[in-house]
Amino acid sequence: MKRSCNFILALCFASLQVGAQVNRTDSNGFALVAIHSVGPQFELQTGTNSIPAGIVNRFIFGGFIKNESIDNFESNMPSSLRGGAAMRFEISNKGQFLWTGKGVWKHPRVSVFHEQNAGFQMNDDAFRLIFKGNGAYLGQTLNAKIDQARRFSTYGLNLQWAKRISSGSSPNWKQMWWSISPTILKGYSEINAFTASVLTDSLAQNINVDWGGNIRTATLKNGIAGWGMLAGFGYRSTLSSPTFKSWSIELKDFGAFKINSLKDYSRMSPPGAGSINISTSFATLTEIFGGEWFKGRRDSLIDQMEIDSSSASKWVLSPFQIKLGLEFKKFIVSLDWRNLPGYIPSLKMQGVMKPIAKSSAFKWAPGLTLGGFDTWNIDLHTGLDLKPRLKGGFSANASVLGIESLAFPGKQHGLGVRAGVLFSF
Amino acid sequence: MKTKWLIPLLGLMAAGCSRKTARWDNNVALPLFETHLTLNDVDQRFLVNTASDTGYNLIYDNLVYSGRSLKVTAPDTSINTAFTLRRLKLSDRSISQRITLGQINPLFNLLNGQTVDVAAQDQSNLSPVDIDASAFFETATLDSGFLDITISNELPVNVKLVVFELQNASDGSFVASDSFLNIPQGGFAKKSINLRNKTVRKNLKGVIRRLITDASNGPVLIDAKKGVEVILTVRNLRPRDAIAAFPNQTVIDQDQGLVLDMGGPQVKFFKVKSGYLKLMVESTIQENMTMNLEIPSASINGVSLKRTVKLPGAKPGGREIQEETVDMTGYILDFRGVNPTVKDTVNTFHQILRVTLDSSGRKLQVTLNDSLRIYYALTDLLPEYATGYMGQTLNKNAGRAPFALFKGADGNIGFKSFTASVLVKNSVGAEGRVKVNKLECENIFSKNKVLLTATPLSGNIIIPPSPFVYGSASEKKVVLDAGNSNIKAFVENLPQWIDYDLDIETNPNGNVSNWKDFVFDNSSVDVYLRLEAPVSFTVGGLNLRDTQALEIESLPKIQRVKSATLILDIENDYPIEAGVEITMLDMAYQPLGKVDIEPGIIAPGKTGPGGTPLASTNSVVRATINREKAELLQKTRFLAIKAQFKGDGTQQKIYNSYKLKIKSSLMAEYEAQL
Repeated sequence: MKRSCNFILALCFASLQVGAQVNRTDSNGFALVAIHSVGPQFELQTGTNSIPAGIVNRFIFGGFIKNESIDNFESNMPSSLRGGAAMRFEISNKGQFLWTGKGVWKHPRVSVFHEQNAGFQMNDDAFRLIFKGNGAYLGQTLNAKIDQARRFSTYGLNLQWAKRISSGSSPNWKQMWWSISPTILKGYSEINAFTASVLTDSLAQNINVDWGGNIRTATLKNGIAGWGMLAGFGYRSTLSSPTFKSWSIELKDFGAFKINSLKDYSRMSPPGAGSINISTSFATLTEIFGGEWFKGRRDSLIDQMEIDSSSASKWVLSPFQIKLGLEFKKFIVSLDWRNLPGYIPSLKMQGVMKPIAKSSAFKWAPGLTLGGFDTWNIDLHTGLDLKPRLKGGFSANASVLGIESLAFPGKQHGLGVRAGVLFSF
Repeated sequence: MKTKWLIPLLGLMAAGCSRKTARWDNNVALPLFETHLTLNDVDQRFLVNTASDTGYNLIYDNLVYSGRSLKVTAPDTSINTAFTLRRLKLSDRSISQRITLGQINPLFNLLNGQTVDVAAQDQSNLSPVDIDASAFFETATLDSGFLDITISNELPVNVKLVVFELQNASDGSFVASDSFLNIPQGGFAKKSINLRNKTVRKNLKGVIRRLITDASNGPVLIDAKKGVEVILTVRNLRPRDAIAAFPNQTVIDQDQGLVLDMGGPQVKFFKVKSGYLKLMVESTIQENMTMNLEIPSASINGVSLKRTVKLPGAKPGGREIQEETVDMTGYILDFRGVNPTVKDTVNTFHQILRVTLDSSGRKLQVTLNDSLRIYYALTDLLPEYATGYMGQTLNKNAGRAPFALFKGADGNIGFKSFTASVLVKNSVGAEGRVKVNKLECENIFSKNKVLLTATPLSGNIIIPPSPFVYGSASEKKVVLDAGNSNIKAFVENLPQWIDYDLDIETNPNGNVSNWKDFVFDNSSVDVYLRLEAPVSFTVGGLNLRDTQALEIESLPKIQRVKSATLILDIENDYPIEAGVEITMLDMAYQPLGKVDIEPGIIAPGKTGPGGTPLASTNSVVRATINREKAELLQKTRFLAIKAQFKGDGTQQKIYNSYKLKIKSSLMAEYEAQL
């Protein structure tokens, strides 16, 4: 995951939005009450099916992972591991146009965003090689396998329009929205069907390695790996019912990235040889996995290998999201899926936010999530609303996803954070 | 503007987005380097001390020439056979068709069942009769084959003449025609028609062009359903183009000896060290095929090599290919021919190749354009050993060989006493003859050359075959001394090069072994110049040195090594204890510090009588590089290895073939980051 965020571009866009004031009518003559608001939003979601939260959290937030943590997990490790993380930072004008009739939301919601998405599916021996190294398994064969792994790092500008289809006076109004996002790809790498059989003898004099599959990393040109155009579409329909409020469907950030140069660090077996013997080398297997190792090595191993390090441009599908939502009077149910390895369909249930005390600006709601990067999470959603729909208003929200992982860091569970503030003026 | 305060706030939030790295310890185990320390790595300054008060007898064998004139290689041998439909056949089959009396003359239908006199008949071009020949094939154009037409007379009269013609019903084209004479009642006549170049289809018409019968002898019973029965039999069909159900058949059947050109040697047996048998079958024929290949001459553990390749029928217009590669390592090839008990020959192997067509019962189209290609090849065969008669070969060899003992040394060095000899080692299983025409040495620093003149080298050196043991050799030593040569002046020239001119002959007396010569893959005739001299290493012992590079500069993460253990796996041939010292050197070869090795002493190797190495001893020593020294490791670009031998005061022989083999590896605790 990228170590720092560059928001210069974001600030430029944000500054364009601050201070503008609009007060118009829509195409049907209905008055639009325009209240401009702006604020940052941050969302982070992590998880695995089995790796303890203590390890995952270090991965996400940094820090040293103790050997004991890795050893403890290894003793109960399942054979198949999956997981990932999705982070989005966004600054947007919230576009709180409160219309009174049907019509098009003429001023688009504008936001700049930075996203980092990564996911993987691999087996236990791959974990052993990455987290403990071959030195911990002398005389043993490790059959590491990474079915799939993807990492995206993007910056983009999102323009979103909305249209209210039915009259605002109707209790059963419908709304649709669509968006486009010209996006810069700052980093991309992928691993496909990678297998590595590694046997290090007891004195580490020979390492037999037999691997296949491919490791591809985008080459940066002027700091950019590629570009893409993403599009989104959503539809919401409200219903007048004692228990049910609305349903919605959304396709978010669907599109493709054109990668200028994707370097392939594949290894072809030499004719007649089933494995490679490393007899004189100095490299770490994590570097081998990361593909970095191939760049500087010039030893006998390279002579034995026919490494295909060719580069080629490529289109890749974005890590888009599909969401289905059902809003009841007392709770909300949503189902979503991301185009990322390690992410399984996620079912979220959340109570409707309620004030902590009568007339309090502070609200909260519990939640439960099944699936996603994780297997299950207990969530806590909080919010603070101070005249959010009026000039000079302020609202904030903060959600902790996977709250149980804080209580049991030694157990598997992901952690997520969603937070944002909104200033209205 | 009242919202301007938002901008610095957003900037602060963005700056706070920086993420720390995740870190964990990784145990990396990697091989580092492998080195062999020999007397070529000796500190030169110790060689100038020739005092024989104590110390060692240095035996230095300098290889002048090594010849592998008897390198036996089997040429790549391949069989590439293509065949076409001429090798295919169709089944022999028969069908019958009756032409009734009613069909011959409808009048007899009216007389059916009556007993009447039948007058003589002479009729022409009777109505054609349909004949279903689908039992033969759908259609076939034939290269060769026969149609037998048998006509049986069921009429109540004698037949004097029948002219019978066969046509293809679809286009009326002519197939066959013949006349049959004098067929008595109840008798038959048979004619064979050559079907070469004829196209026959399954729907035929039989036409009686003329029928002459005798009158009956008195009244006879008329049975209109009886007549003449035509029996058509096809046999020996070789189609050029056919749509038919082909029967099971063998299309290739080879059982023969194949002679290989071994380039001179007459080989009886050959054990394969490496090599492959490659098989490929390619067919456009729509029927299933099977290739059975057997090489009785190739066996492993007493089992001969057999391979079966199944080839499904090709799709119309397509081709089917099956390939297989067999690793021949370990196989013994018997080159004595097909049946050595009958005829014992050389360079000939026995192979059996059979290809069968496996009938699926389907009617398939096969034409002369269809082909079946069989390719099999013995490739890249290298022998572990070969036996037979290796031939009489004479090689004249002239060239220049390095003399490494005095590399880098010059000046006026005198040896107090030494012995020298020309040593010939023969690891070929055949008698050899070596004639030394010239040995001249050169000191490249002084440009001085000395031609060796030695009475014992004026004649031939005959050397017997080596024992049949891998790696063994027979030896013949010709001792040179001051009385029979100028060897002292030759050696004291401190040469770096030796120019040689040698004749080396194999089997100078012909096939005296009766095809029992042998050669291993490493067999050679080697000529050494051996120097044996007492040397003293009393000061500081005998030190062997080497320097190994570490390509650490290619590792940007070396600074994250927290601690490490250097492991040295050492095999010692020397009959003396050795101490090992490792010093880390920087890029300018300046020492950064020594690593502490435990234990520091390497056990001596075992030697036999005369000091010849019997077995090396193996020792594993470790050097711990702690956190402080790990920082030095980051600066290390080279490792200096010093092996120090200290004697116990007894006289010992040291051969330059001794090795101190060091394999090293590094186990490091390394902080991975992501």
